[in-house]
Amino acid sequence: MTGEALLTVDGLVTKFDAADGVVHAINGVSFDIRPGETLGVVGESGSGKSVTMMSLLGLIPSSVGRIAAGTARYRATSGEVDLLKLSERQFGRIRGREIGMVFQDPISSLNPVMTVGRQIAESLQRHLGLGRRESRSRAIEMLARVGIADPSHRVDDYPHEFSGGMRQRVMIAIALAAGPRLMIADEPTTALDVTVQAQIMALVRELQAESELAVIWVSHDLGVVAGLADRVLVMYGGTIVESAGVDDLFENPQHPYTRGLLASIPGTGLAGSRLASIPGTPPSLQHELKLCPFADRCSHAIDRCARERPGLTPISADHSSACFWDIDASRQRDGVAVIAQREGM
Amino acid sequence: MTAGEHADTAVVRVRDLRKHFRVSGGTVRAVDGVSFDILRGETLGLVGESGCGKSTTGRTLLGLTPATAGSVEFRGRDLTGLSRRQLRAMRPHMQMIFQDSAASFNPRHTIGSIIAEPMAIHLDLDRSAIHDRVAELMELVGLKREWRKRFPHEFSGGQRQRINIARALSLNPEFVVGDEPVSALDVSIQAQVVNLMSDLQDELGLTYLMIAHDLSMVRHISDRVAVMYLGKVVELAATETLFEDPQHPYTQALLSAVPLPNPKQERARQRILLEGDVPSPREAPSGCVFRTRCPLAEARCATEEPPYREVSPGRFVACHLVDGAGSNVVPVEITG
Repeated sequence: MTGEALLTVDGLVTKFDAADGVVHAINGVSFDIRPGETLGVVGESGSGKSVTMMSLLGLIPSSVGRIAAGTARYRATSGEVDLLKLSERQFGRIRGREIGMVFQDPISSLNPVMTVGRQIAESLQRHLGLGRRESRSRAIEMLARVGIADPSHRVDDYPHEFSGGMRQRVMIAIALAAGPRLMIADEPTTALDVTVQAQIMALVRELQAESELAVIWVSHDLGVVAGLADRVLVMYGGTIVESAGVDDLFENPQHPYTRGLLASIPGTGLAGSRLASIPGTPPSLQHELKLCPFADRCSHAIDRCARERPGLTPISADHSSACFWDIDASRQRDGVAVIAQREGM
Repeated sequence: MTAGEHADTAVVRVRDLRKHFRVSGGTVRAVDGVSFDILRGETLGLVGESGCGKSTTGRTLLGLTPATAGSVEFRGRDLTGLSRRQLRAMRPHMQMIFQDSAASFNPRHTIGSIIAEPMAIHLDLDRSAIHDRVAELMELVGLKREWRKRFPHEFSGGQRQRINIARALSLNPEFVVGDEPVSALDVSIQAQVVNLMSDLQDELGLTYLMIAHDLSMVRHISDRVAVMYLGKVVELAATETLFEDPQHPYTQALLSAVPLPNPKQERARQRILLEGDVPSPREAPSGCVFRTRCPLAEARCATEEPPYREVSPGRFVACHLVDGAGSNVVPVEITG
């Protein structure tokens, strides 16, 4: 986790065109990740965590949505690129080669009529130009590395011959085959049972210990993020509301939404007591975000929250919160307001 | 389990319940001999991983699918022997709340009529009485009575689950089975629904069977917890006893795998990592069903099925390696 950022995202804005108007899915998201670092991204459904990742991977179909603003500078092996400005053809050299991807449902990401060995080898042939024999032996190595027993036989099996946990291991093998320096994992263990999830989390820790692999791990489960991440982004309403080192975030949460979210996990309060809940429901995102997205559910909201949108403001080194209220001191903070979104690119 | 042990307080008594499904090439023993009582006013949590048979247990218990063998006694009557008509007469007393609230509603019915439907079927009430009762139920679950003319799509997931609860409670049931009632909801909304369900339990004296895979949630809501693995209950105990001192090697591994929302604890924690996945219930292992993944399995675990027995008062375990005093006789080897 040293040195220069591997990926620097600045002011990402993503919009979708729905039947009844524009959905403002991502409203100015900025963050970075360094080599070897694990960045946890948490939030509830509709908070924008998956759309952020799809935007970075060029996976927003132009028929339904568009990236309206922002940059995402990635230090690729061949030099720096802006992920938000690549053509589909250019992305072909980034996805798989520079950035590995793992999604929630391995069965829909794997090709059902191709052996897993060929799916791994395909990535090696395309990105590294390896021959058939060499890519096959590398595929076997990769399967062994992700903990598949008897890899020299399993390499010729089809995805349906693997269990859910094993398929997710295969996905990780494909994602990492060409040696990317960043892996984006979107809810990779959500569909798995808890004992299998523990296996996959242990595997990712092992793989990271062996290399400088940076991981962005998207999850709705704060426990999973607590166990894996070095740093955490909390998303709400298509914005980052808090960003902090993992210990700091869990011990000293600053944003009222983060506090509410942590308090509503069973087991964090007193046994037998009522769970803390956040009243109301998340914002609809049908309007441009001009005020705090959490204001109408927030017990600390002040007048300013309904007039201006708080920007992510540093509280201490490596801890920022997008809130005008200093929750510990019970007074207003000199938060920076987000004036307007930069449009056009 | 000693018969009659909870004779006075058990609302539901399940004995050696089995539900097998014939599939091409074999039999799936989804539920394979489970026994437990559900006591008046308590919440019994039923946990386990996918395919363990917990949902099938819930459905079989309510007679929504016929049992293959065994008995389910409710109010002293064995439900498994009842005709459809007799079962229907029992329905008002036992209700179920499902996970996917959106899928269980007719999208073209107003929520008022959705909540009223069970009353129209089962109760002999006139329209105005049903109308009043719907308004009362909506307020009970935290919905505004003015919303009765709205349609399901106008509500959020958490609100739809409130509608589901109102509907389930419309017939004044004594016993409610919740099958993953909050698992489709976001965590902040889950808390709202869980609090509502526990308030209603206190107010109306309900008895709950809560089926869930989220162990932290189960710990929060349950008085006692039963752990299932491949169609069997492997352990049952009072909630804190089970979580503080799990006895069955599967329970130990399961609890150690639950991620904790505390980074320092997570780093310091010792985990029991199980090998592989749960076997298919079509090819359940001989002897103890957990032996293929059990870090402690011995030779006899492959040949003899461990009896499900009360190892100390109120605590049931099915493992050869747990002695009569209720302690695990072999120390578990722990891997980081």
